[in-house]
Amino acid sequence: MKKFILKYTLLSAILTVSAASANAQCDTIAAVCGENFSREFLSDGQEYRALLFDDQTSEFHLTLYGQSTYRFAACSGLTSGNMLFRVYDEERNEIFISSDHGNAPYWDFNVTSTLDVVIEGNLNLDEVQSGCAVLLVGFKP
Amino acid sequence: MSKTRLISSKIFLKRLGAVAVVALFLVACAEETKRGRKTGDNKEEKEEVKKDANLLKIGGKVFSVPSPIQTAFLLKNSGAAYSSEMLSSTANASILSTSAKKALNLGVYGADMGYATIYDQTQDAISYMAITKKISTELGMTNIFNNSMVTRFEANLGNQDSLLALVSDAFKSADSYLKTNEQNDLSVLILAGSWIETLHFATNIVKSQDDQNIKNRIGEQKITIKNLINLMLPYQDKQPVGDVINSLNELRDIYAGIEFNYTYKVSSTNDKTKTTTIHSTSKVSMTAEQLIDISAKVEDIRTSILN
Repeated sequence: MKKFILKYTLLSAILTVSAASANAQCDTIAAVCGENFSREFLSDGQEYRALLFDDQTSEFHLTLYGQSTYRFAACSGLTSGNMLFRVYDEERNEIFISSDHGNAPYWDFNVTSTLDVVIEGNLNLDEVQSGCAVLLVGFKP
Repeated sequence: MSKTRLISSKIFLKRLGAVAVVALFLVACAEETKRGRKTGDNKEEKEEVKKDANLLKIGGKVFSVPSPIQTAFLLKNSGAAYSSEMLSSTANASILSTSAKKALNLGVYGADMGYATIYDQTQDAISYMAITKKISTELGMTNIFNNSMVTRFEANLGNQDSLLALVSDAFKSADSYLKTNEQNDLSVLILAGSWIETLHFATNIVKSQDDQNIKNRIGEQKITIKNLINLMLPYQDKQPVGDVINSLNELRDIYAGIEFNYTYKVSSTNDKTKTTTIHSTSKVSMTAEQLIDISAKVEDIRTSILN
């Protein structure tokens, strides 16, 4: 019984430390990612995170209001271009692909009319194999 | 302890130590793992870490709702006068008994604070900041809406851009804190509370001011409510998330009758300015009766949140 308790206490401790470490890593990436926003943009008040491995894709569904300007910043790791993102409308019509624009870490979007978009995020496998992916959204007031 | 048991424990501890080293290395240094270093064994180890790092959403879909501040700007730009009567009473904050109730009302008060700030109503904004600080502290977020934050807020009174940036960043930090601490159910309740409060502002204003832009914004929530419900669904077993989803589903049923027509048009991109213009168009068609029904349901849901 003692051995059982010891095993699971140690295992729990390891998992807690691992998870805390992952979150600390995400916090750092989110802070670095935030530097892509100038003062003219306000945060939408949320932070979108995903732990990605290899070619996994994360999907973010957002509503964009008409007559607005948004900035999306997608980050993984501490350098730019580690996360690739693609923006589609709900019918999966292509709007933007970051790899067509030098793996840009951020991009602005002028929106004519309100629509729902899907942002797909992947790691740039030339640079990273796994890690915390962060997407931040800001808008011009 | 017998010799066999001792050896078994030693082997277990060695294995556990190896897993710990691999887990910490992969999670903390993952972004530095270059493709060329990949081995077959690493893949298996990563799978193990993937199962363990349950604080983070792995792949899948993430849903979102727009900031309440965006709609508050629309209301102000429409020429609508400031109305403190529309805001929730700060006295309600003392009767919130559960964390879930506090989270819902934190969303409501956050939207009220944003609305008051956009209209430069400093006294109201300070009152709502104080309530927000109180509730967020009760929810364990002592480092977000702390005294330093309140001091910075007061020091920037009159500087709307700075105030809104402070409020938005604080709510982003709160969202991050709750997700990190596996309290996603509270995080989605904050979003639901702020969304309902903002819709309450809009539906109240169009009762006295026939503004098509505001009506359109109310109708456009047909697509946002779908995202909000999807955002909450993973936590539906945690009450009152399930009850809120049921109420939102009733509101969605009303929205089902509203027409939202979307037409795709090819976007244009300017590499120099790093800007893409989305030319697609959408149009909302909502009858007066549908607007009345939506208003009534929003008030119904808001009342259940506040009481």
